[in-house]
Amino acid sequence: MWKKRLIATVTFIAGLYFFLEYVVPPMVPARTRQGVIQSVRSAPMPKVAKRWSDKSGVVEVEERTVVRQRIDARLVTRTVTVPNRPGQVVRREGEQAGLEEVRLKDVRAADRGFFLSGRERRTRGVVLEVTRDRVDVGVLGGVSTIRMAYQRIETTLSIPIASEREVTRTTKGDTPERVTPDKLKPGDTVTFKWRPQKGKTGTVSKVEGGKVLVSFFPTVIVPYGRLVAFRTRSTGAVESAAAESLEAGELVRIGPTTYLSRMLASVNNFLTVLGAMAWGMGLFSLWLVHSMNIRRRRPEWYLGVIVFVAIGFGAVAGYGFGNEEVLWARNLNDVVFEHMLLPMGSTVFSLLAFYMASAAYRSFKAKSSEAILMMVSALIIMLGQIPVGMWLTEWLGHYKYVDALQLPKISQWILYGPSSAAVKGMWFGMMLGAIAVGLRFWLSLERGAFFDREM
Amino acid sequence: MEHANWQIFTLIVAMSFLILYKIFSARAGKKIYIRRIAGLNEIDEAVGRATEMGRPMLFHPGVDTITTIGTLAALGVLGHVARLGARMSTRLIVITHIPLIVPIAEDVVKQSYTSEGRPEMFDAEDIRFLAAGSDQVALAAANLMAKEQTASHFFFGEYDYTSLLYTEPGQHHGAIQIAGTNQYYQIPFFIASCDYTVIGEELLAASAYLTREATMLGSLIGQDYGKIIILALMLVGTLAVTLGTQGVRIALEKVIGVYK
Amino acid sequence: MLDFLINLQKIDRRWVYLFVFAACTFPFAVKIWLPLYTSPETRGVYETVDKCPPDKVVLVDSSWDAGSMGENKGQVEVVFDHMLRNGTKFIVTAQNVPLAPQFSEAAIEALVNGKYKDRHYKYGEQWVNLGVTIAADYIIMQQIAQKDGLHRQYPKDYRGTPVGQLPLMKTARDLSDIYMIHAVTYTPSENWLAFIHGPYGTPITFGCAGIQSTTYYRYVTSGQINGMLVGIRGSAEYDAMLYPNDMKARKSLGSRLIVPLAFGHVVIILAIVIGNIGYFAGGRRRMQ
Repeated sequence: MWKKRLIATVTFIAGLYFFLEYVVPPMVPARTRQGVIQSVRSAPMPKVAKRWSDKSGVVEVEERTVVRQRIDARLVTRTVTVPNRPGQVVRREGEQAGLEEVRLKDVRAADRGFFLSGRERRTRGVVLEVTRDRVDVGVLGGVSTIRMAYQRIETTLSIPIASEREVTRTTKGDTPERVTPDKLKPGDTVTFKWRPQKGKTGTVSKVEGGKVLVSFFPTVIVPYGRLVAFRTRSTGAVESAAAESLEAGELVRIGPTTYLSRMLASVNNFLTVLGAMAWGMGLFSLWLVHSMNIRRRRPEWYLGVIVFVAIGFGAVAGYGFGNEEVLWARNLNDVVFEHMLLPMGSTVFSLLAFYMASAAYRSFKAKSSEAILMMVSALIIMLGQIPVGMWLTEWLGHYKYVDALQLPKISQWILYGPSSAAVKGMWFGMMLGAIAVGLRFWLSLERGAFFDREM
Repeated sequence: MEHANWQIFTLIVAMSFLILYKIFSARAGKKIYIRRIAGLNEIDEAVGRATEMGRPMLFHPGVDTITTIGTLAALGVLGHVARLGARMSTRLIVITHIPLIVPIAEDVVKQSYTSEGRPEMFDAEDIRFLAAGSDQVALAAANLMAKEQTASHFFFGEYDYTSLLYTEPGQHHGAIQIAGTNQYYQIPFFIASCDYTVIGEELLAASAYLTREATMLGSLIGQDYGKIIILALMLVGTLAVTLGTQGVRIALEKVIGVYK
Repeated sequence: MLDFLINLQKIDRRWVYLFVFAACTFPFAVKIWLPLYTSPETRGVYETVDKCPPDKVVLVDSSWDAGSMGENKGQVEVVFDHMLRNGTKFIVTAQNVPLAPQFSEAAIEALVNGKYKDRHYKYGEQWVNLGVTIAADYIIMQQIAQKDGLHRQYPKDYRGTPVGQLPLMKTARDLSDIYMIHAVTYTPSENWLAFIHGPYGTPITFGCAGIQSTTYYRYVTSGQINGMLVGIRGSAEYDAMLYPNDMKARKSLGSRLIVPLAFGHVVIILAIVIGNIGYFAGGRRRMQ
């Protein structure tokens, strides 16, 4: 009983997260401010350095800087809807200094300037949304200051030139190669195989004083609980904006995060890990069946031996996937996956052509009016998809009123019209059914083998 | 994309409320009618045929993972087929290429057998992870059909291009085949090679149809009412945009424009 | 005679397989050319690619491997051919198909070292292959749409070179530098429309398998995708638009396979007709 309740609870919490992530905005609505940035000033705080070194003289220095930003923006105080009438002219700030006159239909989101609209004539506004029938203009008020903060992490590694520890150099156009630090020069891209920098890639910035200096790509962290920003682009779309990328002139929305969207990638990773764990179960099932066959010497038991040999062989070959260093493993990987598995997959796929022919021959019989309709439309579309259809009815193109009866054109009409309509109707029903099934599982209302009783 | 707005929120809450309302009113005893679905009715006949011939049945829950709606619906059908098989003492073999499905299918079958008082019928070897690819499982299934001489085949769930690879060998083998998928472009292949086909939404209604349980029937009716409401909105919107003035179109855009 | 006609519905399926095999292989032995009708969806792709301005790039999401090579390879070959002919710069990516980059790279290099050898196109300047990303597709799409999103999502290209070092990638940083997206895979994701076309208006075209095309015709009719290449037929039609008067210049996989496909279809149609003749004859016998 407690197992079912635990499963039901976990299911409900997981479903609740996805439901809330879908319906709750990424920022708290009441405390979100929208406006046009006038200036961005950054004040880096003193750096906090963490230093790591080992016996061979390699030194890594990680510097964390908290950057406090002061964003001055004119906030939107209210929204005015301007009907998009043909020929209406407005003024907006041009690419060069000053205002330019444009037609209202050419205005884009995030445009700024004065707008001719009766009482709003001298009101400075910013375009929030443009549609065929209307333009939403946000009236800008005074300048307000918003304070944001983020953390910038810069890491540099210093390696003695005389060190014997090799790194993998991947410079443009060359194949990766293992080299010692004395062969490195500024601009080289290196990847590390030794801990704790294993897997990291950096660029050699300087070679001086008997040391090679490698710098890594800076990382930016926005701590939880801080403000997040969303930028509106000229197409009207809203995108997440990193704090350090905000610039003057942009239309932004800044507010406290509701956390949900930021966790989405982590939650999806969890689902991936869960799926990966299940691979063990599949292998166990395979072992169970085939080992029993071998032990009891059932008919064709030797095929079970081949299965296990193939699994081991595939695991060894998989070691060579993307492995540039162990050549035999890479070659084995190529042989198994590219020269055996892929052609076999294509062969199985090609079976479909023959199966389709025999299935069509056996089943497409004119047994009822619906079957006749299906058969005739299938024949028209099949002929319309291939050049033979055009070859048969090309002559109809010479006559004015019957050229639409050419097979490709009838086929196209069937696909664009009745077929699309039927597909849309089916999708519509299926998606609503999917919502109902999802709702039943989420609230543990499903009946059957999974849930005998409610929570 | 900004999908979190009051329009989406309202629609989801309204749909959910409708479905839940119908579920609870069905539980309160209100009579529910749903039309006959031939493919699902014939499941009993297919199980009976396998029993008469003394041969096992084969079930494949689709080619997609457990998180998809079609697979969840297929596992509901699996429970029903397993219960019928336990009642008639007919062996059921389940095949898949998704490792995650194996323990879930084992649980479903074991529970079904236990609910019919036949827990001893369960054999873990009958729930088989045959290979890692759906086309490879199709070939292995063809071999299995010949070796085990299966009499009835059930193919429910999400299917891709390999659908015909599963059903055509079964057709030549002479077994009775029932298939159901919500991937509508595979439905023609199932119609051509199976005796009965369950189409699209009928698969998602399968659990409700087979168990006739009040909760499931209620949710089915709730989603149908939801369809009617959305159709009505579409009709109103189409008429308003076609016949209305600019003011009407602006008002309509503000209300439902985010659904583009 | 009636018995013969009734037996037409009982032909052993192996004869059907043999005829399909013969029909599909015969055109490889004997060169046959058939006229092609260019469908509106193929024309839509052609016109969209043709209109690419010189300061923008085209993103080709080529996520296919040997399993769907028959249908998808031609769909990228013809678009690469068109772009190389026009001098349009492009970026190739792949999602969740590990072997996809090498297939698209082989297709590009065959053109660059063959037909367009005298133009001396250089990797990194004319085109870049950013390799494969294994992640949920909508996350990749959202990342590309962010500022400098291409550089963040693909820090290195298919060959391991940091993208900052590639001349083309210095100007192509995110979605605002991309003119259009041509998504080619067995089943293109509808998330391109939800996450890219809807919010940002970027033109999208699809290249899909023939059987999947019925799903996407509704997007063509609604204008959400500018065009679509449907299976082998789509690439053959596109090739015909590229070389309207010179059939021998049409070298894409689609052009090579369209006639065997046509013959295979003809065999299936004949099998259906013959089966129905047998069925009607059987009905007549029952009436007697």
